[in-house]
Amino acid sequence: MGINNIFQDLRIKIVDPKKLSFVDKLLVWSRRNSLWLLVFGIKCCAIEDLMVPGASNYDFERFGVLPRNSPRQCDLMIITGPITHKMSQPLRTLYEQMAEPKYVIATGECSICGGPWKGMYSVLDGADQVIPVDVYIPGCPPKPESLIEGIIKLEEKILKGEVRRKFLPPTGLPQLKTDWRC
Amino acid sequence: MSRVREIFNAVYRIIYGSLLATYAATKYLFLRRPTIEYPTQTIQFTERYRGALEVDDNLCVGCGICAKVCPNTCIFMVPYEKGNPAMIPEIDLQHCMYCGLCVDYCPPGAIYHTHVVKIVGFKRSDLYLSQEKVTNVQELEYK
Amino acid sequence: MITELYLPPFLYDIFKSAVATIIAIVFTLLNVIIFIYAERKVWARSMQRMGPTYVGKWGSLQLIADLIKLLSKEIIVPSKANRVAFLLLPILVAIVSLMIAIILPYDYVVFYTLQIFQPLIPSVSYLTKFVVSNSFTAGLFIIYVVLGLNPVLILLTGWVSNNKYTVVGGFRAAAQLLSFEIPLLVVIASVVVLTNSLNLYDIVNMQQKVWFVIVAPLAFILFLITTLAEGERTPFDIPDAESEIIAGWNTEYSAAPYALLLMGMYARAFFSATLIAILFFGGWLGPTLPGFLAPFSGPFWLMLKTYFFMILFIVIRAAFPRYRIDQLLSLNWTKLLPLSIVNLILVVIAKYIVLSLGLIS
Ligand code: SF4
Ligand code: SF4
Ligand code: SF4
Repeated sequence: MGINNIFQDLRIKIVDPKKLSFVDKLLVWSRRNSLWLLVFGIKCCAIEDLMVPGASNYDFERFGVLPRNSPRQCDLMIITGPITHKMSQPLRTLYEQMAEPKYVIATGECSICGGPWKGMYSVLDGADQVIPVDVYIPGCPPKPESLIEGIIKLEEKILKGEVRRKFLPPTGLPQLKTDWRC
Repeated sequence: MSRVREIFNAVYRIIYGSLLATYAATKYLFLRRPTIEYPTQTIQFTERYRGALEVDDNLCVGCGICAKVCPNTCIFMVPYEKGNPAMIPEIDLQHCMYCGLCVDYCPPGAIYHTHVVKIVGFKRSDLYLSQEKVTNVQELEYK
Repeated sequence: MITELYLPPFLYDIFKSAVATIIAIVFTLLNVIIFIYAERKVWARSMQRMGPTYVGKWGSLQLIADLIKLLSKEIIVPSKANRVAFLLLPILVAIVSLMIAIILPYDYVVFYTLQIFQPLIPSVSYLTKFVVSNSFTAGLFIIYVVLGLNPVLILLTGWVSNNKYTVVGGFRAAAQLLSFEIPLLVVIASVVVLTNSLNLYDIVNMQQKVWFVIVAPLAFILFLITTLAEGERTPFDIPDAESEIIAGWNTEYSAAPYALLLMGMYARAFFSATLIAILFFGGWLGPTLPGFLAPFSGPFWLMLKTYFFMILFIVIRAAFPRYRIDQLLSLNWTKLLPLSIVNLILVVIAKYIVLSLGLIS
């Protein structure tokens, strides 16, 4: 995708949280506390679910989640809505444009498995057909509390070092149906 | 003369508008914030809040109506290990859209919404409520 | 202690300026972190949100976490970008922004704050000799020469990224910054007419009896508007308008280079706040603090005024919507530029009135 990679060795490899060195602990602490957010909002969830936790009732900036627009500066992508064949290419492109380490949350049944549109001719079986997903949040739309719970779970996951750390090259991801026409 | 008044009005509007906007923004700095600090503060759910589904195996008769009405076909009837009733619904939460049709149609009212919103999965299979999970959703520990 | 350093005068000067420079830069970086933290907190409050609270007490470590994360992220260089220029330009932007920190009296603030400890450590008073920012006889001029480099660097930053959003952002930034520099310099000229000096210390000392905001209120309003535009703050944040052109000229930057660009932007806004305090609000002049805090009163008043304007910038960001680029340019060329020339004439008249009243010497 035309993305060059320098400083590849900077990526930390964690096995056991107890065996972490001080620098690794600092890195993990900073990563879990500063998840900048890229909104991939497609359908109703983008309004009902993604905007409400950002507003004053359930403010997710308390956890350091700051919405940024450029994918280069983001760590966390939140996907809402059904991924169609046509949308899968932009989704893959946006994911590859994010800098490592990057995390993905799929919210709503549409982005988990297709939801009410499962099996439709144009809808994929969930976002994890296109890119790796770290946390799934069910609901239609998910409650704002569920989304915050998901962010807390992702932080726990980062802290435990369970999140994949290897940069997946474009060939490691499944092939997309590129000749799709609507 | 009217031109002068126009210019005067425009200048007045600019100054008044900017001061008003700054005042409004400043006023909001000192208002009470309605934020629910979610993990530490509990939320007041309404009585009919639609959270995750739970099945009461004392009431369920295993008729399978819930599985038939579910628009997303996310309820599966499986043989119950404890024996009574013979069949029990298992719910795949990744499809469930919390529409409540199964709750409406269940003859004995054995399936109902709880106030659980914590169900979040690292894998898709974490969201599948098997028969052990679906009968005690409220006591489940989600790690 | 270092009360007597047996160095040749030349080396001694270099040593002195190096210490002052490092102190000023560290002070600026600290204040940039405070600025961004205050912006996130105040901005959140104006929306009735909490802002960061989770990391440290009241989220005070949030910016540290952001900084460490940004520095440890992967640096992406687009394959179509010019690799050397792409990685060099953020460093240049940071250097150009931080150069101004030496001219502004930040070393004065730090060294005179340390004088509080003089009863305990007497040799601390030697540090007051290390202040170098009072030696710039044309300090105000240098500041605007250095700031004049910014449009070029920003345009280049957008251009070498080779992305249509960055190029649009870069051109918008160039148009905006270049056109706003003219009224800004005319307003600065009106201050220089009042003081006959370009040295910041002279400008402050002229305001012993009356602040220039009373002598030239129009100049203050024009300066506030034009510095907001020069620092790319809302309502003039057209170059990095988030809802229009992703992130403007820094769209392609990730990780550490982005941290440098962000630091440069906020450092410029912080310098603007200090300059407003110095040029129009009497800098460090104010009542002397009681007791052992007496040597701290100068830095205290300067930083109080600076932080007041910092908060004002943030409140303005929360209160005002963004201008369109054509509205912005018409605002500049048809309103601010004529007004700034009118202001120059008014200041000349005001100077004669003030001189005859004996308020400035
Ligand atoms: S999960 Fe439900 S609310 Fe969300 S996008 Fe799909 S249909 Fe809309
Ligand atoms: S709530 Fe609706 S979607 Fe969910 S299991 Fe019941 S009928 Fe199916
Ligand atoms: S939950 Fe209700 S509808 Fe479903 S099988 Fe049991 S009794 Fe029948």
